[in-house]
Amino acid sequence: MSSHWLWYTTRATGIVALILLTGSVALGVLTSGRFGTRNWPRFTLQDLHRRVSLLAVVFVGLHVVTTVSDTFAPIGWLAVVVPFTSSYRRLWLGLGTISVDLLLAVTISSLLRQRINPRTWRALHWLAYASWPLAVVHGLGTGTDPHLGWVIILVVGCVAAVLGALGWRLVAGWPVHAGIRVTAGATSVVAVIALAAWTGTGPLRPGWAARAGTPASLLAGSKKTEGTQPASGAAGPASRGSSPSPTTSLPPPPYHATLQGTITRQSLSSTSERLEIKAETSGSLVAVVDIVIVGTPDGSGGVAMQQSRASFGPQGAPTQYQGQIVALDGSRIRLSLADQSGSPLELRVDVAESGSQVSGQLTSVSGSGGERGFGDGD
Amino acid sequence: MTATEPWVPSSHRPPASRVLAAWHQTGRSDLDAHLATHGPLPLPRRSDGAWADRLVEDVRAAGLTGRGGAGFPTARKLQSVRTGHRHPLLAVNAMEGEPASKKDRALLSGVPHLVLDGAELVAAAIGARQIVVCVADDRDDSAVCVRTALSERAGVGLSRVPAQAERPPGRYVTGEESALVAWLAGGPAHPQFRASKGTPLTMKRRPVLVQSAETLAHVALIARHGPEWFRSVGTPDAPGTCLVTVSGPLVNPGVCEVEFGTPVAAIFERAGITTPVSAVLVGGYGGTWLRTGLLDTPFAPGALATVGSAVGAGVLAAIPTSSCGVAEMARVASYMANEGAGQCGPCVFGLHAIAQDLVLLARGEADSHAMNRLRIRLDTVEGRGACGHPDGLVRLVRSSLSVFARDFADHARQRPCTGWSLRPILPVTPSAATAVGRWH
Amino acid sequence: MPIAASRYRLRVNPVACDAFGYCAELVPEIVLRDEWGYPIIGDSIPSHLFELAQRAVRECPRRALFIESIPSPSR
Repeated sequence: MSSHWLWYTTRATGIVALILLTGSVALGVLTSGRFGTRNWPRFTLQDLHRRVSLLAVVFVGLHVVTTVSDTFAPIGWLAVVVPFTSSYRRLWLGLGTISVDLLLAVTISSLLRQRINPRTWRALHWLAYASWPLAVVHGLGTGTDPHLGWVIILVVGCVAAVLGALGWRLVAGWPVHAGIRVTAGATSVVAVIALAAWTGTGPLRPGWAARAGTPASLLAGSKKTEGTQPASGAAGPASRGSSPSPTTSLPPPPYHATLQGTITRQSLSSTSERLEIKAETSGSLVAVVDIVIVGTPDGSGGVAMQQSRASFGPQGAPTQYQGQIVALDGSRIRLSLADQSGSPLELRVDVAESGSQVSGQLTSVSGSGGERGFGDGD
Repeated sequence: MTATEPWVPSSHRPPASRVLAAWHQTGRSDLDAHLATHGPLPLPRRSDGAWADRLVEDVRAAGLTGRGGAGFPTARKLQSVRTGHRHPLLAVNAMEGEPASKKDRALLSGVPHLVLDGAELVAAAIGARQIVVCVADDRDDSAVCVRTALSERAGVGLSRVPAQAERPPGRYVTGEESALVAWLAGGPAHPQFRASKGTPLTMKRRPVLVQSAETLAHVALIARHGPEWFRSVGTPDAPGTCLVTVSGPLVNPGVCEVEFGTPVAAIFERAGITTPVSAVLVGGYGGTWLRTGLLDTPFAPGALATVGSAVGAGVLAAIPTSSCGVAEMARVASYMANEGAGQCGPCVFGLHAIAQDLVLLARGEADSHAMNRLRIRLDTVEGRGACGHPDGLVRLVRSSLSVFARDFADHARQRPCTGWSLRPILPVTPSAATAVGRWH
Repeated sequence: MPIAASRYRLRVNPVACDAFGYCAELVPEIVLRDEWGYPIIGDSIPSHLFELAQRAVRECPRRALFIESIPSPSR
């Protein structure tokens, strides 16, 4: 089964699980350091730690179940417990698998705490410390949303919370183990710097999806057109957008795709007709193009263009590029568009009508600006 | 073994000579000397239950109590390990954790065969199939004596039960029974918490009987001569003899055997006091101080109890008037604080805090609340450890507060006290001593 | 109103105790903490606090607490 809500749920539960895991780790650090106030006595914080941890496990469970159930990405049940066995972003997903394994170990051992050797329990609980950073890196590496501002802020907040708790623990701890604590503090700082550096040069840079190991079949675009998650652009900043399934960003040019769509005519007045071509590209590029021509009909189905308007963009942002026709010759249309920040895009659209259907091709034109005639080569 | 070892005065013949008889009479510690003095080991070829019952009954009738410090009736202890199904282990406690005591060294180098006789007899009585002689790992000469004696016995087929020497770490707290058993079981030598005192010690479900070396020596004599002979010296409540280590400004310091009931002053007279004494440390570093006015108290459990003291490990350490009781206590407290197992918070922190208070008092750097703080801490720490280690020091410090009251008062007011000598009297291991630093 | 003392008392295994202090928070009427944070436990558990005392035993991170019946005075 593959539908939007599984994918939304995976991402949402992943984020919530990360927040809860952060809370659990921070509380765990605080309770081990015997933190307590009058209004938050230590036994309460310990109880809270247990409950938050349990909730985190529930959300991790949901995250895992929805990920596996979502057949879009090839992640099976084996990959849940055996790391580095999925063909989807093997390394980064594998880290999440290890995190889940550690969480499982901690959960089971804590539920059986009264019956197992205290030293075993202690050792497993210490391993759980590793579960959290693995989850963070997993989220940044496999997640589709790191480029979103609020997600980054969230991750920064989570890391800050754990660092804050660790910092308090190292400073407020007993002076006996000063050497270990200084080492731990230095290691944490180095780790966070490394994480920030990696995030900046990795997940936040365009093309991460391919570098992270998203299978080519998903990158090249899927044949599915029922509004499911479209393939990630070959080198887009994220493999999927954060709005409803269509992408919100285009791959960089060059574009060469087939068009399929409709053409409608509307008579505005006796001497004015409005023509609108709405088409979708398919193939490696999934976008919509909307061309409006207003002009005087020439009697044979065409119009002499007086005004025009055009837009082009991915399904999620169909008006990403806007502009107008700069050249019109029969069924060949030359569009000069620009996006909000002014980046230009020139497209050549060749369409053939058959009734109210149009089909044709869309090609991007290299070079920018300037009105050139046809035949400039593409 | 040379006869010039300082702690066994051969030039001085005490009236009581039972345990140390072979050494005193022959000056030798080998098997022949032992057999010549005491006769053969009274262990039948087949020691059955009836013989065991008789031996335990003799020990009971003799009124022998443990000489390791606790003073528990030995027969009762023997009986408690005879009831189980598994063969117990007999551990001979010759650890001598008390720095001021030398009697285990005296026993092992002077009369090892008497101790081993006792071990053999007790092992037969309780059905033990193994004897372990525990000698501290920093007492190599005692270990050599034990191994020499064991091989002598093996050479003539005298060892019924396999016996070997073991070397647990030589720290104060290792001599505690449960710590010894913990170490024998393969763990660290830390006292074990027992919810109720009477819980028997076990090692992997085998009961372990821990008996001090001197007690076993007495058993070996009772087996040969009977309970009436044993009771022929001493007092009715405290029969027999006991080994004590006398130290201080004496002509003949060292280990000697005294009959229970001998006044403490008489013991010191025989040892030859050379300078005036302000007080005597009785028992060990977990014991109490006896002021000079009470030195005619008979050395016996009951009599000492009336003045708040106990026999303990048989330490009798005299402090000359020229020494400062506060300084001595500061050193002993620092030593004891370092010698705990480090398992229990109140002991680890409490003893160190008490030692710190004493050090500040000894240096004359204490504030006006120091004495009060010290008393409160003594109350706080007492009884809150897993073993008796903190309680012992608390007991000693409390008694010093009363016996050396004037010295404490002087120090609390940051005035010099009457003790002017800087020479330390009570022995502690070097590491603890340097931790205290200079005072006065 | 007189507080009824039960026949039980709270005890701590001092070797296991690591001064987390949950017991002193849950039943401050029975458990005080010394200057180093370790528990000083009162003589008996008042009847109305018995369940809280049980909770303290459960919550102790080192499982150092236990409840036992007060031994009747012997001899």
